[in-house]
Amino acid sequence: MRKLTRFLFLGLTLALVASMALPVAAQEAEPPAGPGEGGIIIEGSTSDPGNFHPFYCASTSCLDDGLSFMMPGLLGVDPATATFVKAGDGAMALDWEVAEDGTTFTFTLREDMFWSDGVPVTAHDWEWSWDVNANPEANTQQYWITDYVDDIVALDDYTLQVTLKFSGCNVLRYTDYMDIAPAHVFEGVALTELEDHPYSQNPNVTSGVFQFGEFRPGEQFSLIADQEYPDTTYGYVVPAGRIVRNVPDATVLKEQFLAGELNAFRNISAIDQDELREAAEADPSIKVYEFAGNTWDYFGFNLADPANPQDGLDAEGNPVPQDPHPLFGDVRVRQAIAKAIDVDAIIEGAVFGNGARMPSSIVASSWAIHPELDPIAYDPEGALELLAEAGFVPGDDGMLVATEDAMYVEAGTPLTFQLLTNEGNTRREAIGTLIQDQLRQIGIQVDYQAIDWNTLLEINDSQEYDAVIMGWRAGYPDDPIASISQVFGPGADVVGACSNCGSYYNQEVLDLLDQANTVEGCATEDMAPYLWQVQEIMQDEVPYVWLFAQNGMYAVRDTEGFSPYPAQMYWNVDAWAVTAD
Amino acid sequence: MTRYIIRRLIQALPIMFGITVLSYLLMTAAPGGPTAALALDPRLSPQQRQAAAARLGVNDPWPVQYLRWLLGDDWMWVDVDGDGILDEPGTRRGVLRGDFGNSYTYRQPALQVVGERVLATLELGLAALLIGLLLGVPIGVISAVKRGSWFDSFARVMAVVFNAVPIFWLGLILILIFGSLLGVLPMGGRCPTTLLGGCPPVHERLNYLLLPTIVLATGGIAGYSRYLRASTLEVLGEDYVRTAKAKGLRDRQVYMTHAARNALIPLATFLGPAITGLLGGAAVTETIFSWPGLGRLAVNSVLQQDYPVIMAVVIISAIATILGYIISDILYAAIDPRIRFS
Repeated sequence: MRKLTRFLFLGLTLALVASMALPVAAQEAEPPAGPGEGGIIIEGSTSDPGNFHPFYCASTSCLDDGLSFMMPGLLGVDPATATFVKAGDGAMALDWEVAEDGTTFTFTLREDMFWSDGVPVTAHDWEWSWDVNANPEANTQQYWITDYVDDIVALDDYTLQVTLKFSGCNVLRYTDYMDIAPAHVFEGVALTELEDHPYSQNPNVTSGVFQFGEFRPGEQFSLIADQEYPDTTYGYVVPAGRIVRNVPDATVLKEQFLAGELNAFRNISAIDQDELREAAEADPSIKVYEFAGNTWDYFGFNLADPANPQDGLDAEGNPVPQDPHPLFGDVRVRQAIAKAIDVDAIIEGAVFGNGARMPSSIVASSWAIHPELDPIAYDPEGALELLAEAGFVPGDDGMLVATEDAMYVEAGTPLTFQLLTNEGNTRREAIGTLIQDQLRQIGIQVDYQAIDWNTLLEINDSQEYDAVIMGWRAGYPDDPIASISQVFGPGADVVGACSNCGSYYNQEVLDLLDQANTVEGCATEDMAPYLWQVQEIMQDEVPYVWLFAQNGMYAVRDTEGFSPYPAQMYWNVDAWAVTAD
Repeated sequence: MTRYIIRRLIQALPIMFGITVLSYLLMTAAPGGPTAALALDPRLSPQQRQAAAARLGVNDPWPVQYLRWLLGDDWMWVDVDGDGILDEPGTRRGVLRGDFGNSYTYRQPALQVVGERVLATLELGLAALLIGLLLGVPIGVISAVKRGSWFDSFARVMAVVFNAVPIFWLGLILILIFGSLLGVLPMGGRCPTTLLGGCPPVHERLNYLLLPTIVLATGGIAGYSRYLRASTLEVLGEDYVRTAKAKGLRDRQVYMTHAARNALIPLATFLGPAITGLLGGAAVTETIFSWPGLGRLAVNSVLQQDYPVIMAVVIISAIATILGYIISDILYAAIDPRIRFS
């Protein structure tokens, strides 16, 4: 009897669970609407795309808002893991092999992808696109890929060979750096005439979840569902189309969403997130999705003497010894400043808490994030101790001045420096003000200035500065090896055109990056320990004070099927349905 | 008059030349440069950034850049791949031969980029000018005729308010009230949001025009009303007005036929430039209301240092301004019988 009771109880429990789960499963499998019956997705963008030719697109709007929905990529990305996968949705590569030398990739392409005029998408589209982009006469936006790619050849219609200039675990992505265009549309068009071709304003042959609709410069552009697109959730594209309005004022953009004029909103600044969150709590038609962001701000030191800026490498590729910065040439000063900055207070003050501290250049969502490395703790007392050790003690007015022990400045020199950021960016302006205040509290006088963006870029490039507040965005999928070497490598330390404008150089870091990139099998779990060491070294050497990554947020209203991943809002846009008129 | 106009146009040529030289000098002297923003993409090596600048020719001294802009580069050899070596003759024909170059940002002919915005700018500017004149002129005349009345006081206060309120603030407030709270007017844009079908004729989308026109017209209403009030008051004290009154003419005849015509003469001074100045656009209003106009384009181009577009806007604005002053002179002569072309 007892066994029967237990059996019945178990059976009832299972039945209850099943009855709860089945409708959910059924609901998830059921399309929200028929082909093209899912309404029109309307969203806004602060920038104007201007040009839709994949080779000449020069704005984030034409790429992220337009072309990414209309053009096939080579490599697929699994949105759940943010890693490259074979036979991914919307991507052409079914499979690939890498030659012994690690630089030659042979891709097998799918045969069921067609341009919207019925012509198949083939390897020849890649070969032609490469021929154009690698030729300086065409003057495309993508000529820079010749730094990474050596050649692209169509072995047959559906076999593509890409030869790179490098080998290593992270080079697969280089094979997909180039955006392609339909070769057959441009038959007979001279290279010098490509830029002015009507396709730039009306890309009428595409291959993606949407086709091009129309473009009203400075106003809006529209995309129309392509029902022939093969990689859909329900066998067809649910929304009828997508319109992107050009709304240059960010405040108006947010208000348009809150008023219901837009039904999708991305690039939500950290400052606006509280308001969106509250709106979602008050209005069930609004859904928000929050995630660890990949855009981060830093306080960057110039480690070299701003009075004598030099390239990081000479003509033969050998490191050039840099004269040290009078203050920041001493690592203890940098460490002290990092300890004296209360980043948690800055996150609260600058973005109302909508940010996450960073211990290094690696964002929290990356596979390479150090699991045990904490951000540098706020410790003003420790900062003063370090500064005293570095030869800076309080003067008569309480502000710090150099003693005989200071490494690169004369005794009596006040510990003061200039800090620059770009005006108009309220977040960075707030960060600068807070840092100035926090450093003053331990006796460091900061001449903080928010200046014109172009002027800041020029000063940054010239390397004639003390410190800057700027930011970077991690790539997708994240490539920490490339990003660290591009931002902290000596090759990027070129006066007048730098990414490593602060002239940081550490051969050990470069060696560790190289070791990570040559791990046998290229498993991320095997590569990560090398990058952990890099993060530890760089946190000790403090070329930047890593501040915080802004939290990411997407929002939709009156929209079903919205199921984003971090940095992947639209991976299933084919299944979205707008329920409001 | 034809000879006068031709003479003025010929005189305008050195002015145009001077404007372009000065504009080019200032533009290229500004910090940053068209390739500065490439720094934000670390995938581009420093060498690629330098090569991109070389391909655009923005590393050359400004007189060389200016000459290339003016005369084209098909008569000289250019560095196609940015490696510092001259490879082949250029393909640009220069402004003097109608080639304004390609926008660095939009990668389209600069004149085409500018041309796409002209109609929207004229639409908004003309509506604002008309509203400004239709309201400002009568308010000014009535204020003068009824000097010291409650209407005059009210008009004076409103003129100060209209002049003092920042356009961006007024625009945002109107958007919040009429777009967000009441939901009776669109919150921006020039045309309804549609998948296809383009932009309907203006009479079918007056609701889009209303708020930006009001915002843009406030300055005009304030300015014209005060200007007309002052000039009407001056005219009302003239002998011929007193004579007209003494003859027993009705007030309306005195004010409209005798006073108003003469009071309007100073208006001609700035009406010409105001009409052609419409092409200058209204950057703030266009930005707040997402209006695809020339002012917004000009400001964005300056921020992005898109030299060809900046220069195209400068040329158009300069021509419009010069024409505006010529129109002004012609209007002056048409209205004021004392002025004759000679």
